[in-house]
Amino acid sequence: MTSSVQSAGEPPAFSAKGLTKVYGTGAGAVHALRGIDLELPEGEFVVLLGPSGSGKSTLLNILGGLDRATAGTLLFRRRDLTTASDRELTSFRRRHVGFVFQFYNLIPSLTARENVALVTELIDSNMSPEEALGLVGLQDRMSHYPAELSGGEQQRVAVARAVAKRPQVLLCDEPTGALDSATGVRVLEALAEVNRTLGTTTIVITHNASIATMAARVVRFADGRIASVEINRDQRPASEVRW
Amino acid sequence: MIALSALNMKLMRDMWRRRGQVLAIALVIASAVATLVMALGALNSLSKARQSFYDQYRFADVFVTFNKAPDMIAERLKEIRGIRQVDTRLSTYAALEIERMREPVRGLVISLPMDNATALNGLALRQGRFPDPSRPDEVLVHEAFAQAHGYSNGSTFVAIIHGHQLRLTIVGIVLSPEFIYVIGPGEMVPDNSHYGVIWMNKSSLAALLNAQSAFNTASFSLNTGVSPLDVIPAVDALLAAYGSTGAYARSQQVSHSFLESEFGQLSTMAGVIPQIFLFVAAFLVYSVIARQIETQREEIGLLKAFGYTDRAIAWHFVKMALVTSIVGLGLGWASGAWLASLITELYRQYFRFPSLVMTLSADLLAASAIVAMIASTGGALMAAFKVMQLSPAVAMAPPAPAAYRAGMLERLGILRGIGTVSFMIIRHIARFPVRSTMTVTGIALSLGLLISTTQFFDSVNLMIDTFFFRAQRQDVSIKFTELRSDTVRADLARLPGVIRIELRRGIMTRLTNGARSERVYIQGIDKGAVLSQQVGVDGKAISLPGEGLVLSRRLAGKLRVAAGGLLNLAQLDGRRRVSEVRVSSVIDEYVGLAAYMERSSLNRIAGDGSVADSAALKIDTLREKELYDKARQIPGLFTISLQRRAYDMFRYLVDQNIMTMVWFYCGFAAVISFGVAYNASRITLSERSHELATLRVLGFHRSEVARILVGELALLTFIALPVGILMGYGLSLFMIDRFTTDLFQMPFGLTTQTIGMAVIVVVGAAAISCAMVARRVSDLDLVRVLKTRE
Repeated sequence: MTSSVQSAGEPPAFSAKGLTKVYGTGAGAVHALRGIDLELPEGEFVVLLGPSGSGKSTLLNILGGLDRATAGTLLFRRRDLTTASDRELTSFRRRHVGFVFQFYNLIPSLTARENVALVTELIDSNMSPEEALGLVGLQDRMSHYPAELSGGEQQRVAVARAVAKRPQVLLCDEPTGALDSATGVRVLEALAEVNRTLGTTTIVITHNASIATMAARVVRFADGRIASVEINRDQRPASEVRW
Repeated sequence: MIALSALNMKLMRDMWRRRGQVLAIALVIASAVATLVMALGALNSLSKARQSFYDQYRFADVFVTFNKAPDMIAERLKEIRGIRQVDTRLSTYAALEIERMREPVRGLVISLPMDNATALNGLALRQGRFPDPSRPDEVLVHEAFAQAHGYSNGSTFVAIIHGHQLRLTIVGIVLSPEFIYVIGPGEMVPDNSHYGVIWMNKSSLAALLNAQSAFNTASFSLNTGVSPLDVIPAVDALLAAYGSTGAYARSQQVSHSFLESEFGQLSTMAGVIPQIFLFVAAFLVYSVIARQIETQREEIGLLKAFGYTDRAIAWHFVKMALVTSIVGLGLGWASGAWLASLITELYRQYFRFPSLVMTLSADLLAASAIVAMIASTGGALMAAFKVMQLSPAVAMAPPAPAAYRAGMLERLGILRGIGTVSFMIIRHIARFPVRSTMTVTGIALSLGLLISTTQFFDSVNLMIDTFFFRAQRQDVSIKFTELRSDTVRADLARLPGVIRIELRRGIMTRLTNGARSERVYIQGIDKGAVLSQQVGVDGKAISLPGEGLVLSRRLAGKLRVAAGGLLNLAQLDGRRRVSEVRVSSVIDEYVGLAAYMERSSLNRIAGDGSVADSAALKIDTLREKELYDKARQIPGLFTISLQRRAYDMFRYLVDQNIMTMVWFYCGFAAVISFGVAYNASRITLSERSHELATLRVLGFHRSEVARILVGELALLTFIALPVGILMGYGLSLFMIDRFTTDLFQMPFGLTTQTIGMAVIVVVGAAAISCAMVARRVSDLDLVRVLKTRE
């Protein structure tokens, strides 16, 4: 793998050049990403903002190895993801990426602890499910099934599941979208806590501009392009976020 | 172009999208329909062919053979009330000398009727012409015999008829309603190279037999509504003085009774197996369609929200089921008709009809259509109504997250340490017991079906084994042309390679108990005989008592007599003595109406000395050829037959006819297994696709996700196996029981090999469907999972 990254010292977590994604072909083709250049440093808390269809979810999917770009290059720590095979992408997700979804996507037949164990068993993580659930404040709810947990609790289990393998990257697609404000804040606190203590690069998609106030970097999308990248020098703690 | 409504468009696309499943259900329906069409199609074609042959060529209702009676007796026979037509003729057995054949060949020579167009048992001329009345050497032969020796018009062979040796010329090849199934006296299977039927001018045959103005065989047709039993006593009374062995109805006519028993088996099969197939298919189709519709509950909610009526939605799903069953019906009809014609063609080798055309009746097709439609639409309606009872809002929302809890096994700690993925599998099965039970029942039923059809091989093998290897253990059977004194033993002992000789003798009798009376052949066997012994259904050899009669249970039932009871025995051949005999025991046998007695007792009853009419030999099989050549020189030898050959031919016959059909049944059962397994896999995949896609997102490799899918099905299959074996056992018993007819009892002989094979097929079908479905794991839409709720 050749390094096209010119910056000195530690390379960025992600480095995208001319990243393009087109769905379909011919007249019906939909250009979801129209050439994205972006570098995201290790350990940062990044928020992607933008209206529906602006391309932020497409980018997140490509960053997480769920989808492939049509053109351009994407490096994850000098590793080229654009040419990776399906098997390599699966391994990439398995080792390096934690996902948090809008609708939690917990396995209903497994308890909170088992949902986390699903991932820790997969890679022999040095973090126990108990520890991960402790990190999100759910040490007392470990034996409950998803159906017995509130929405916020379920999302925190999802966060615990995502971080239990100590991923390099945590990708969250509308993690608070299905939650009320107070519950949402509890989830954001959990994300911030993980970012701070584990140094995980955290990328959060949201419609909610107020969440941007806790980010180190805010990337705004419009029409498949990056409209602006803004460095936030005054990061506010998650507990102060309100909507 | 016909503009399709949006709903019909959806229907077509849905079905196309699920074409694999649609096809799998259609195959299950097709299998059931095909078994019905195959069984009834073959049976209808055969019985139609027989009926039209009988009608067209005037097959007689009653038959009688005797020594010789003057022609004027025929006039007296005609006077018997109820008899419409009497035809008289001469017939005799002849020895035939056929080039290239070392073994004796026997022929039945029958005199030609005066007018074939009106005579009973008319001949269907296939080739050539009728003999010239002035030519004593011209004959007709039966097609089966002609084919076995490659004879055509002009071929000649030598016959020894009543001591006269003459060369006969074939001028025509015929079929006869009396000889649809051509079988030599006392044989079990047709052997057309060793036995043939020959027709010659009556005057020629009369000259050879020294029987001018006489006849020794008569056939009768009866007036409508007259039963054979109404005329037989009068015929017997008239002909007793001429050595009649008793008149008998069609049911005891050799060819007819063989056809009857074969048709009986076909009809029992047609009456039992397809019905079970249809029932199983109906259940499977119901459960599969019901599950499919449940996976569409959101769409149903949406349609209801749009304002579609319940009726419109129900009709939508019924249409889906109807289209599926139409596909299945089409496949079933086509394959069933094809197989029926194959089977009909196979029977053509043994059943000699002038025309045998496979025909399917409209009502058969209609009946199969109705059953298939009811099965599929029933399933669709039940499921659709269940979903429609929900309000649109509830239906549109996904079902409430399933509340899981630890089951009994887990709480007991039995499952500790099996891994998280295993918990997913077990809890999912336990959480949806109805669904899991449906799958288990489906797989178990298909296994049961497979076992219960395959067991027919076991049953037939057991029967053949009992008959050929336990009951009839001789290597060679010899029949004499007439009764021989026991000194014949010395003649036989001089044959090369003879190890053991057992003499036998049988008499034709009428057994009477009060008003009940049966024409019965009693076999006389020596005490301590080992080459031919009677073996009961329990597999044990039956020892003959010194005195008295042994009856099969079926015969005892007909005569209403039990062990210890007395019967009046009237001998119909030989000295025609009448005596009282005691029934010493009643035995259970697989086949029919048999009676046995110790040979010396039988000889005493018949008023003869120590005589035999046949012998069973155990020989040194290495000297078989030598023995054959020498045996031909024994005076009074009628036939000599090899048990090995009889076995081979019987085996071949059974394999060709009934077993071919059983193979098809097994094939269809296997198709059903596959259909069930494939649908179970596909539905599991669609029900769990969200969960499985989530795991893929979390970094599970395709194979790891597939393992969960396969694991669940493997576990369900594993649970289904013992259930299916039990079902198979029960179904087998049921089928065997249904197969027990008046003449015939099938042994129950289900073997572990059969169960093992069936299990392998079912597990194989499950494995193949799992593999096919596992490949679909790569099609899971990972991105969609992030966006949607379950």
